[in-house]
Amino acid sequence: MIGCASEFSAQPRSILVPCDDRGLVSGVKNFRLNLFLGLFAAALLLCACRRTPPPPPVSIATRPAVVEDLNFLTAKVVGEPFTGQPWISHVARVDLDGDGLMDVVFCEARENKVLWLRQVSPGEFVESVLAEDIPAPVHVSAAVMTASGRPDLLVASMGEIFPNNDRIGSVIILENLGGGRFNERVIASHIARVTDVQAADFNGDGRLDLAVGQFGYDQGEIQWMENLGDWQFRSHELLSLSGLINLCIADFNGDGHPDIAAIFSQQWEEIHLFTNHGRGGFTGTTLWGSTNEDYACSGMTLCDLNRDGLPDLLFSNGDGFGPASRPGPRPWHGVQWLENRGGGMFKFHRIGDLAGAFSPIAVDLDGDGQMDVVALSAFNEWEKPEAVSMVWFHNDGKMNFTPTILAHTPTHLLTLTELDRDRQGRPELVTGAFHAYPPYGHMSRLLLWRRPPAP
Amino acid sequence: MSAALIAAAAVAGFAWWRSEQNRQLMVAGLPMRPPLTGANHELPERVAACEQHLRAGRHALASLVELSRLYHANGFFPEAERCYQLLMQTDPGNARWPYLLATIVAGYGQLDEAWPLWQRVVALAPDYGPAKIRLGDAFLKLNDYERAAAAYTQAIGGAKGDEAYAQVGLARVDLHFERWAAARPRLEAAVAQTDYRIGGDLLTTVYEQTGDPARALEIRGRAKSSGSFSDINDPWAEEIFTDCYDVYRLQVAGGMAEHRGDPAAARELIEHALTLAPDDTGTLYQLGMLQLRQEALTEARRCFQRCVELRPDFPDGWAQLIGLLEHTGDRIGAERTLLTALAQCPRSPGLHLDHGRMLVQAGRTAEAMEEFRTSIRLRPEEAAAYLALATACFSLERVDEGMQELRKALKAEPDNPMALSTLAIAAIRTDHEAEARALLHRIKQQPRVAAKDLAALLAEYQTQFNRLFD
Repeated sequence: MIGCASEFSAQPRSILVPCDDRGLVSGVKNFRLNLFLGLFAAALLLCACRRTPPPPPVSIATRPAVVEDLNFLTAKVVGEPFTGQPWISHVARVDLDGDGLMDVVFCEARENKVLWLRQVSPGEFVESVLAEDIPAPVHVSAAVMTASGRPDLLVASMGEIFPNNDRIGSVIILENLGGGRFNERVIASHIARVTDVQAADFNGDGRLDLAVGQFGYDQGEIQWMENLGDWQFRSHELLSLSGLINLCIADFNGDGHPDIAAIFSQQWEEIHLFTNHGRGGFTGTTLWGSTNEDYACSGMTLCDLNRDGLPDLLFSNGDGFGPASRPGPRPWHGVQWLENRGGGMFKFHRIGDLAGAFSPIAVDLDGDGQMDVVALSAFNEWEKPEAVSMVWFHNDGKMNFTPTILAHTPTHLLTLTELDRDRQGRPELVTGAFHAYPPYGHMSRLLLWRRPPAP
Repeated sequence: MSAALIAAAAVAGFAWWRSEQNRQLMVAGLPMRPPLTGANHELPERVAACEQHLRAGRHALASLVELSRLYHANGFFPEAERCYQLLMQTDPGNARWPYLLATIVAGYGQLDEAWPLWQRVVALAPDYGPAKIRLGDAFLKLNDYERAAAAYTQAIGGAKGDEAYAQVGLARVDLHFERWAAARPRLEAAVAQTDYRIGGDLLTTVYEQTGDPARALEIRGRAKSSGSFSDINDPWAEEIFTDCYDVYRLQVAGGMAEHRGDPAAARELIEHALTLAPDDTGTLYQLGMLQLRQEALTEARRCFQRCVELRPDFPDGWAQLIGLLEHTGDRIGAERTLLTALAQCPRSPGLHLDHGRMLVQAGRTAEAMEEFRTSIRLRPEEAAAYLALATACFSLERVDEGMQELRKALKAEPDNPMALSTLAIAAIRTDHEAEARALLHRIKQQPRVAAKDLAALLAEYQTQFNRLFD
């Protein structure tokens, strides 16, 4: 209020001073007039003096100083050499052959292949094809679907990567027969383009069911598929909405049943939670959303970022495709997390800016006991040398994150996983690149990122 | 009289005092100037001038307004946010400031902070429809369906464009509660008002849920992918771009303006970008495409011509230029240009495909097939070159080879209408009923196969196998 009232109160009194020299009568009349005018002015000033209360405290993320440490991790090419432009749409870790070493399974969306990067000895890999002719595979995850105990692979097939609203998606399970042999089982086909498949026992019958996310284009949906046994599944639609990117399954509300979180892009830009009441009954609610239709949600992963024992959600926005002649960054692109506060309550926190952000993962990168975040950039102004392709958001232990640039090249990094820990217990990361648009000057396919050996 | 003078003096004095207080508040609250290196030289100059004017007390409010626009339009959002907060304190009756502030914070997904601002805007400027829509959207995403519906309802009866968004918002509330029948007329109204720019995606789902698959297929059949949504016309948010010096942001804003059906605004924004970077081929290409869609062919050609002059290795610029030459009947010019383009861009799959098509027209089918194969090798993930190659094979009566290419086309685009239909005809004519039936089932689910083509296929099936396809 800046001391308004006291100054204002002095003003009317000065008007009341009889200083007119034209006589008492006129003085009295003038006095009344003056009094009226004075009160009018006072009222006017009082009105003018009333300030609107300060605006409610709102604040977007401040920009902490960006640190650059291009030597923190070194990259090593793994897998087969490439020609043309690789379209690695997803990398995931799994010990597929049960030899105690983490392997990488990944999708090559241009070649329509699901592949296996087998870690044959620490840091040494051999690549092989697990399945061909799966149209535009974009997600692979492991789950033990049979009594064999071997991890099978759940594959999301879009049918075509670029915009298409036809029902050309499919859900495929690569049944692990052992000995590096896999049997391709098509669980669902001719459905809206599928972008994620994950397994959990949603109805408590002892069989792993599937959660299926379908981006579609104009029409999409999320459904859970009840496992009836003998590779038969029954669909249960949870929500019809296009643009689903990723699913995360966890018991978010602590009631003992696996729930499903789903992130939707397109114009919706929302995260939904489907709370499982057991026996396959779900209630959907919106956990978070942006009214910015160009927010560009690009990925979501499960984590426990604050290590409170409750599953949190880490997500990115950075899909740079849009109405311009080329894909590119937006000021709001970045990484954020939804803190699970228990009882179905979540709180949004911005972690930091990152143009073209994709594939955030929680990982204690420096071994300080705090979960950091590493994310990639798939869409950036790559013609500018300062464009960033990998960032580490270092957690100070109070959930404040300082961005450290880990790499400017190679460009177009789309997918990331923490593979394993080295002999010193330091994390090893694997990235996959998706070179669907130029420039093609700094390409990669699969890279293994490690801390350099101590001198 | 004296009293009036005194009152006037008091008011003036207070106004001066108030203005000075505000100025001091603004100066004290000014955001730190961010690094503006690399920006157009005018931007740092104008920012500095605004700060100087503010400190000197010259047009303080106007200077702060200009500063806020400069920061907002050029993507310096924390600084813009600070300016809007100051403006809300010093110009509290102006609804623009909370509106634009809310736009920023909501743009980051902080709806808990945005909705009270939009609520304030609705109170201050009840005629500004986008605020009601944004408020409704915020409540919807915060699971407050009652307040969302109330906000959307306030926008009904407003501007026609706003009303369509309100109807879609209310439909989303209905859909949350599975009130399909209630959502349907709202979405039908929205698509009617906007010619399917919004609402068509949800309406398709509603038709499917309410047992009207034919109408759902009719909408699905309109395009391979519509991506129909365009944001509400929002003059307050859009006017700041006159102060934008960021070419890419202007391109994006221009693209959005065109997408929401405002080519004039789009052109203004893209031309603004061109004044900043006259030789930016991305902007020139975007303007060319805009002109092309507006059928301003001469202007479009000029843009594409300039694109390839500046960047001879830019295949899309060449492709559009060639297309324009063909469209205007200059076949020789198109051929000559295509050969020049291929010399400059030998790894362009699109140009090889175009060359192949041109060779087919000239009766040089064997050479055309080589071009199609080159296109496939460079871009195996798209169906067009496989289809062109298949057609060429059929013209040479190399049917088996053509069929193989069609199957490859279906791997690239699994429900490609032409590939499905041609394969179905072949299966029928070669007496492969099981395959024909499988293909016909897929075709019946493919809304982009024209009804008359489907009818012809079904008739041929009936003739061949002496029974109706069920």
